[in-house]
Amino acid sequence: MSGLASYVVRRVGIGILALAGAVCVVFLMTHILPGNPAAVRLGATAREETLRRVEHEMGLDKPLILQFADYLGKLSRGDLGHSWITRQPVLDDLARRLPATAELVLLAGILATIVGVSVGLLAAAFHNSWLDVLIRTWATVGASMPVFWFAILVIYVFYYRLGWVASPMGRLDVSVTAVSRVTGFLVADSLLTRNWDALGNSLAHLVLPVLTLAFMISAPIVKMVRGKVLDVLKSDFVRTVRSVGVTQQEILFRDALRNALVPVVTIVGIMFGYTMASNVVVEMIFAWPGIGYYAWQALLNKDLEAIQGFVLAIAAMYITLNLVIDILYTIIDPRVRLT
Amino acid sequence: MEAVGEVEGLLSRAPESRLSRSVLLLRRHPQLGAGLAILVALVTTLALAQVLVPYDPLRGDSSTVLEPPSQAHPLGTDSFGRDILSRIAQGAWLDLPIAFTTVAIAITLGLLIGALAGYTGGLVDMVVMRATDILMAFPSFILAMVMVAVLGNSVPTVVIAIAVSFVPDFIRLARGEVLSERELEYVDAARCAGNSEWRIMYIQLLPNCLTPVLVHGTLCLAWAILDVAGLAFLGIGITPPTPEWGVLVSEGVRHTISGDWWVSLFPGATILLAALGFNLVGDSLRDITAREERGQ
Amino acid sequence: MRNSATLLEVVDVDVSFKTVLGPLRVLDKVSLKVEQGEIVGLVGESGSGKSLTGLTIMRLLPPQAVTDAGIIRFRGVDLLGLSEREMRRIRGSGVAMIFQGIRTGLNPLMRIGDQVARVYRVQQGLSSKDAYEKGIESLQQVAIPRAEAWARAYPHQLSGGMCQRVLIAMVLACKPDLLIADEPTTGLDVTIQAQILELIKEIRLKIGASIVLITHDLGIVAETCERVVVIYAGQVMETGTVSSLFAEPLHPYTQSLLGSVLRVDRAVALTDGPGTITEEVSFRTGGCRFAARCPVALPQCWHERPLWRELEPGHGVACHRQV
Repeated sequence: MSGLASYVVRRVGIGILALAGAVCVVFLMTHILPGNPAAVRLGATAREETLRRVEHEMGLDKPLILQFADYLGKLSRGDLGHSWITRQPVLDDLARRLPATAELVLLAGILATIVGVSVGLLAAAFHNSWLDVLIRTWATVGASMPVFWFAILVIYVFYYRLGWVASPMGRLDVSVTAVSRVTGFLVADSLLTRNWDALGNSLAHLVLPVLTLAFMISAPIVKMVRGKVLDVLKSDFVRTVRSVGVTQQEILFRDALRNALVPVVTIVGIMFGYTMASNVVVEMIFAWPGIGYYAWQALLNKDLEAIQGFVLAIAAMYITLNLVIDILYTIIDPRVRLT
Repeated sequence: MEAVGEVEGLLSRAPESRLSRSVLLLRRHPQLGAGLAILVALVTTLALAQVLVPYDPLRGDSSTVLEPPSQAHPLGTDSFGRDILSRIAQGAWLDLPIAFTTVAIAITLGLLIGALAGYTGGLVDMVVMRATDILMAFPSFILAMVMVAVLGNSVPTVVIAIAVSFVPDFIRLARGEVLSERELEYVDAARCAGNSEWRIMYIQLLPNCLTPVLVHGTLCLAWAILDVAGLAFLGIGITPPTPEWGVLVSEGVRHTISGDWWVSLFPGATILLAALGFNLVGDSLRDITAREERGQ
Repeated sequence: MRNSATLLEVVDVDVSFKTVLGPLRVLDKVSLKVEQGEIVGLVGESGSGKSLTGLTIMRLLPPQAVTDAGIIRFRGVDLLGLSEREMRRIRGSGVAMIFQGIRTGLNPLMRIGDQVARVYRVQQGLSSKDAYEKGIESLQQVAIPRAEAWARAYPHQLSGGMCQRVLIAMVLACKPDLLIADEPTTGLDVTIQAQILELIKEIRLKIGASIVLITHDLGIVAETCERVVVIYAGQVMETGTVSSLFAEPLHPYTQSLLGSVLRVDRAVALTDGPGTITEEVSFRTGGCRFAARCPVALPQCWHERPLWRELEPGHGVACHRQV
């Protein structure tokens, strides 16, 4: 078996193990930590018999091992449990809400990457100039910014004061004709079905949440790109290339960018976690019907099965993403060729 | 280039007095000065707030509801007529100690476990590393969110939840340091001199971690403040009427949408400033210690 | 056949570094000459400023360095007066430099064939295909076996010696009139060192380049160079032909480098100075910077910079003792 193939197999194996571990942790979190889930659901004033009944329904009166076995059994059948708020299977809930989150996160991610890389490159190219200081300040402020406060600020300025965007409630005004669901992405779907009203309206609703999320994500990207590009510009091989007469411009775009971006790829995994965390808050503020909002509701209402499902989904996405990144990395960095 | 490095290496040796070394440090790292200045200004303002603007942060006055910033109320009042500056100052007594406690717990646990894993090796190490890996598969904020939701809303649960989300990094840090020092000769020497394994682990090896722990710990302080406030804003952990900064922001949301912007703005700005201060200090500490490692 | 036109003339060049403590003079009135077709050795300890001299000629100093004074005449033109764009045209085809740090001098993410080809593209404006072919030729010229196959390799797959050859190939592609080689053999095995030095001498033959060989190793100087410039703490101490300098070193520093005794009647050892060379640089811009370590220093050595004297044609020294 070739080096790459065996690495992939090994890496996928580790990924599966990680997933298994995540499953255990998720189960433990909701079953072992002090507090009776049934009591949590029913509140402090529940009567003894109701408590006992719900405990039985939830399977809490069985020994822990059996509960875990049940859980595993259900998982293997793709059953993530049932939300007691929506009364639907958690998996269905998540699947239905995923496109909303995906649309938001993807747009924000792309925007943040384009802006972040460009700005980081700019800062490094004009190292120690006022532009560099400004950009560095932006990055540090962005990293210190409470996302919920920023969102409120942005709503106040652009919606309340300037009226440039739609109201921060959901993805589409009620007055607009509904969009038939093809991909679940409103922008794509309204384009495909030529629903121009919906296109404009959904974009108007997307602007603020995407900007907010993109701002948060861009800060660490700017910092990292700037740092890596500066490292490359100071490196010996750039000195070599400069001494044979290559222009600074070519050095920036061919050597600096390429060599800097390779290690930046490795932080995509961490950025995912950071993005999802910010996303929960963003969805909550903008009443965005995605999985973040769902998770928030579940947390407030102690909907344990929904919480479990959500966390497991996030962990699964994170592990898969890291897996893909690791494998991709061996392809793009020739030094990491494995025997 | 080594030529440049030699020149810079000179500078570390030149000034003799303590004072001029500190001044030199601040001049080379303006971020450090800026961060410290922000933190000092923040703490001073909030400490003096009770003296300058002596309102009871918990009791409302229905005659002064939702007043914009004025001389009597520099930061305005909220929907219960409570002075916002006083509320923020009161909140500082919650947010800052929580942040420090959280980080202190995370460091303590992380170093203990990490050093043990690194020093002992073998099965213990493997178990700890796998557990850490799995824990790191969850974004830290989301992990904290879930823990608080399950454990219940209270200050101790928030502290524990956030501390737990920080622990893996410190475990890795401690383990790394111990692993690289473990094989060195002074460890053997210490063993021959009769030191117990525990003593070697914790008293001889751990102090090497001090610098990276300081750097990462300062940054964690910033994250702790943001996390606590974030959770509180979502209604998880600390809830109204406790005047925690995140709670204050959430109390002001509906007023902001209707034009009374000051209710959310100032508490949020405080969170930003506090996090900014710690981030600036942490970043500059990282730069300074990286320089020292390079022998400059 | 040597044409004795002066190719490079460095005259009284001062370079200082801007630091938080104030300006640090790292090159103090440095002067040297390179005739057409010569190999000149620039010798000094680490920290002597020999690398910085090379960088100054190439105008590749870091941003915190400032060239305060002096002239660097190359083919009659003062390089210090050129704009960056004009200098860029001189780099490569006029003056080229091989740096210390062998493997790190190559881009780890690019195949070596592409890296050499790039030089042809930039210098001669060739198309990608032509540039790549010429690149392979260059690799063959520096004795890299199976050049076509190795051209597809990445730097981390090459040995140190091969990396150095690739760097030399890149420089060859520029066809420079003057080549500055900074410690081209440091870190290599002795046998490889010899090969690289042979290669460098061949460069002079093949493309008629003059060479400045920067090194701390007098052995290399003896084998390879025709003339030597001795530098200490940013000040040039002595210059001369290899034969006359090695036979009769005039400066106390040169003498200590060559391990010879100053005067037969007074066998004096080198005194212990304040540690390293860099401390000399920081604290005194007055007299001769070797004074602290000089066994025969006179009182005026500390305050008065000795004047340059040519005691024999082609053999000059700056020392109060040589009057």
